[in-house]
Amino acid sequence: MQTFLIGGISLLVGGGMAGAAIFGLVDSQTKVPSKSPASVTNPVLNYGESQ
Amino acid sequence: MRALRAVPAAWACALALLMLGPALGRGFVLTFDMVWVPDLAVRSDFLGLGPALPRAVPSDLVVALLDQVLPGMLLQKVVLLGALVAGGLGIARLVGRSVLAQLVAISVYVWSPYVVERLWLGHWPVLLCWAALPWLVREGVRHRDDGRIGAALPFLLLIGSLSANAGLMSAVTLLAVGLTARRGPAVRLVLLVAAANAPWVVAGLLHTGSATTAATGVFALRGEGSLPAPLAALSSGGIWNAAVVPGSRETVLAWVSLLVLLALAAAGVRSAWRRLGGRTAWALLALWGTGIGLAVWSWAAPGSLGWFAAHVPGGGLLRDGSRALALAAPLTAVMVAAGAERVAERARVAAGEVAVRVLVGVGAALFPLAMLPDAAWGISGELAPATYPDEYAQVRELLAQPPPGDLLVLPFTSYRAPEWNHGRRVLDPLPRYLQPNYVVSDELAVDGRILPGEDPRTPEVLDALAEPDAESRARELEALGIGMVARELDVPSTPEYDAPVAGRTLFHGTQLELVALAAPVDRETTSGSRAVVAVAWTAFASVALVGGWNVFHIIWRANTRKRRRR
Repeated sequence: MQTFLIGGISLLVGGGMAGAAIFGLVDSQTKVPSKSPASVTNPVLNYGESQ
Repeated sequence: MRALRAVPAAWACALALLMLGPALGRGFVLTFDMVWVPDLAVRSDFLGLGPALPRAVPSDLVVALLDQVLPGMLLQKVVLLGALVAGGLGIARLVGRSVLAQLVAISVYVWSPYVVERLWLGHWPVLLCWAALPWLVREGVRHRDDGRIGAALPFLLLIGSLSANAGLMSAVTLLAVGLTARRGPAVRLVLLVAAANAPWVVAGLLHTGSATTAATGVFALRGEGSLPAPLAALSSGGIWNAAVVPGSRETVLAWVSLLVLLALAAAGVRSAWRRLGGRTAWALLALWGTGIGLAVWSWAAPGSLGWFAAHVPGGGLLRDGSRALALAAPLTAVMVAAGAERVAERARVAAGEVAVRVLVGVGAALFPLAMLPDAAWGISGELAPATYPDEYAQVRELLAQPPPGDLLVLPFTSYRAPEWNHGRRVLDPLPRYLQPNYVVSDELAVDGRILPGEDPRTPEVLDALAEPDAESRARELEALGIGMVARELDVPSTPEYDAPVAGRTLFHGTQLELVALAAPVDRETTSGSRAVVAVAWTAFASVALVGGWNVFHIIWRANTRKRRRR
């Protein structure tokens, strides 16, 4: 019974963590990249965005 | 058993390799403020003698000297990999002998938003400082116990003091933990700290006129996703620049991570306190409060911080609020590790199985990775290395015997996003790639708004570029001490930042052009400032000498003992 319980809990925790990891990875990879290359209309490249 | 003891070290190495990934491949990692070149030439401005507020003292000179021994490309990999591995190994030393606690501490300390965001923003001296902090805590405890300067302490202090912010954090940590009531040891420790920080302190004092800064709220701590700024600080995130925040930090994972880490830290308070000992624990708590307090101050009252930075010389060091969170990192990691160990032990007792303890331990060690998965493999490829165009090397070769005067790089803007760097933003690397002292714009654009710099020559150069013709521009620039103008032809710009300058063309390629001006005015430095800077660097070098002497002493004593035994 105990072994079954441990197996179940580890499956739940491990599955949760794996799911979270995959979710985070997919979300980060599908985000629009925040690049702002310089151009003649915007000659000073942004160092960063605070928003 | 011995194999088990090696597991934490292997884990620290594995995490470092996994986080850097492609960054360790051939080429240079050029990201935001991180600029490494094949062979950084030594020049007088690296000492802090130039007209601009020296921001890279002493790191630039230290790199310029070290890359005489190790090529720049290799040196960069050693620094990045070394910092991550050393940080992990250092924190493991603060949590006792439990392998489980060590593994969790390493994960929490290394795989943290702070490390990922600072790495992406290119703040490698801050990362070296972060890596040195746990070791400085250990050395501080040792110093408090026996009053001696350990063999490693001087080197750790130098590694942790390669920039002004880093130096301050290293100094505060060492003094908070290591100061004793005994006068001799206390004075020795303070002197050592002062000597390690002397170059940037003296260089800053020589520029007090320009050592104030326009620190508006843009550099303040900020929230990440739906996580408010103070909570982001508690989870060691909250960097001001949204462009370097991993995507996972803007999802629910940031909340899950914070709640679990807080719960584990709460569970570990008592055992962490016992393990550290009252004096060290109080010191780490004070450092934690200082780190979190400075970060939250920049968010809660950016106006008062802005006033402080604009009116108090050196106050600008505090403008990047979340940078100080390195001070909070050691205590956080120790408490979470202690909490995880306690939970694992409780689970073992409840289940009556050792396997449960192992399971909980492994889960806790993997938890930070699951919450920040996009930190892996060079922050999801953001740290892919780049190769400099051939023309950079050709121009450098031409300047083996540079004409007199400083180098001006046009367009006169500070950041680039070259295609050969995969379109990623980086502080213009050309001035560092070439050999002469240089004039660059220190204006920063944030959110499309331009923040003024501190270098008095920046507005003067812009004025010179606004002159009506190439000849008068050349004359104005010569008057500023500029003897060469390098132009990056592939950077789009406007006449305000880039205009033709009359002179003798030394090189004209597809990406670069180099023009020598006729008669640059000599830039003068007073003998007084040269002498003060020399004293500061001698003090800095003497820290290394103290370390070298300590090492020599240990080896000599060991040899004497061996001879006696024979």
